[in-house]
Amino acid sequence: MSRLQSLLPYVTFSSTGGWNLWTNLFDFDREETPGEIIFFRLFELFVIAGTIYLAWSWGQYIVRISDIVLPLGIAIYVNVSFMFGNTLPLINAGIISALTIAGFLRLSRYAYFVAFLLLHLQFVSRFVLGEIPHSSNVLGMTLLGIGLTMMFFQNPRIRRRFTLGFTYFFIGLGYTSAAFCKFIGTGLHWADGRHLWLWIHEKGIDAFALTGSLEFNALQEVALGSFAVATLFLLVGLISELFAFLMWWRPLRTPLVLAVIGLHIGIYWTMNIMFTLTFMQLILLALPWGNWIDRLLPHRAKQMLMYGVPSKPSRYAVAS
Amino acid sequence: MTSRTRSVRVLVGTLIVYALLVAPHEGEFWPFSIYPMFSQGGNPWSRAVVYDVTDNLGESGEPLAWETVQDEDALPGKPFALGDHSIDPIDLSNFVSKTEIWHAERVQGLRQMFHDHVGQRDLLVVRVNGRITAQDSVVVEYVPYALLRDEDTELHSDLPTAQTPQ
Repeated sequence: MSRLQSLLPYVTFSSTGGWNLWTNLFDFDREETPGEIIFFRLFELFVIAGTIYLAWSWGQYIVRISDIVLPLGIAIYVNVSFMFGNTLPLINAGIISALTIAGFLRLSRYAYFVAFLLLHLQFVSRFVLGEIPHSSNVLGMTLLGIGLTMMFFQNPRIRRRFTLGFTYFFIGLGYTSAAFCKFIGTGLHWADGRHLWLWIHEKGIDAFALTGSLEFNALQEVALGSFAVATLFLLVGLISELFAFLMWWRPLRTPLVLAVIGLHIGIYWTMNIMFTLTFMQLILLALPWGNWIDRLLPHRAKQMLMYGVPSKPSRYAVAS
Repeated sequence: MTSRTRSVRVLVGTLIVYALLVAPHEGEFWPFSIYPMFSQGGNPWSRAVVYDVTDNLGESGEPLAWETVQDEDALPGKPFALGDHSIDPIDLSNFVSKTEIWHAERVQGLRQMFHDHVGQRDLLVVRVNGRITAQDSVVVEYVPYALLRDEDTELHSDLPTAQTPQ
């Protein structure tokens, strides 16, 4: 099967059972390939690595915080100052790390969900100084998805399909929600080039604060020099967000996720903002990695992965 | 219960929890969010930068001029790169712009951000405000806010201060 043919299932309708949302999101009845099984474990490892990275990076910053400016999440109801001035953030990071590994090893069906709850505590303890970041939301939702999967489903294939369907659903929902926020917050004229000018200067100051140097890249200079170009940038980004929910349907998944990836590249070039973990996760979710892994796997390995026995035929007749 | 039924229930249940959590919390309850970033186009913004003014203060500790300028080159000292010192510029920006009363605890919180440095150098925290003018151009203003010295912190005279709240 050529590379192009391996992409066809993502762009033709006939292989997906029509427009049914649940079939497109979960497709429990579709046969699973060894490549998909391996891809999911790699995807799971990515989520674990991202979770551990966030837990420790937030933990190391919390030890430098002494005051609450703007509480978020559970910190609105629970005074999280008990996390300040001691090693609790690092202990929490250690517990989160251990729980995600326990979840990966399937030692407990509750490990991932508890890790998710503790990561929420870590987040609200880190972000009490006024910032409301969104760079970890996608990973957080994915961790929640895995946590719910392990608690509510037993069959490994169902678990894999549900986790990925859950992830696609809430990623698509999130980006489309962002588009509606823009229409509600500003109106249909949100894609006005002057707005981008203002944001480029704002992000320029952020970079100035970070590096001590105030300068704009070539793309920013082009946008700042042309109202039409700046407006076009915003318009393309807005359309990508608005239609992101269409990734719920399998034939449209790859192009829509690629469009969202393009959106993030554009945001990075014009405003120096990159949600690295989200970007990496989108690359994992956009492309048919399972198909590609299938093509690389030797036939014997596929057989063993699917059936657990060598593919060597028996010398005796086998009842059908 | 079939897997499909259960999957629909779990997903819809999560969606309901999502809505119930973000609705009363201004659209944010990590990791649930309505993603309102950059939703308000054209609004003025506020950020913060830091300048190292150690060499600009006289031996007698003469106060710096607390004037608002539109050119960063007019600010005293040299830029203090927060990235080199593991300080998050967004944290600083939000701390400066969202603080309403600069009481003692809040001032201490600001100093705590730079705890490794205030004993070694004098740092000027500058609030930066940007907006679009009627002539469709962007104007950026730099407003000195706080001078962090080893022995004390001096604030802009226009900043509201109060005793530590009980």
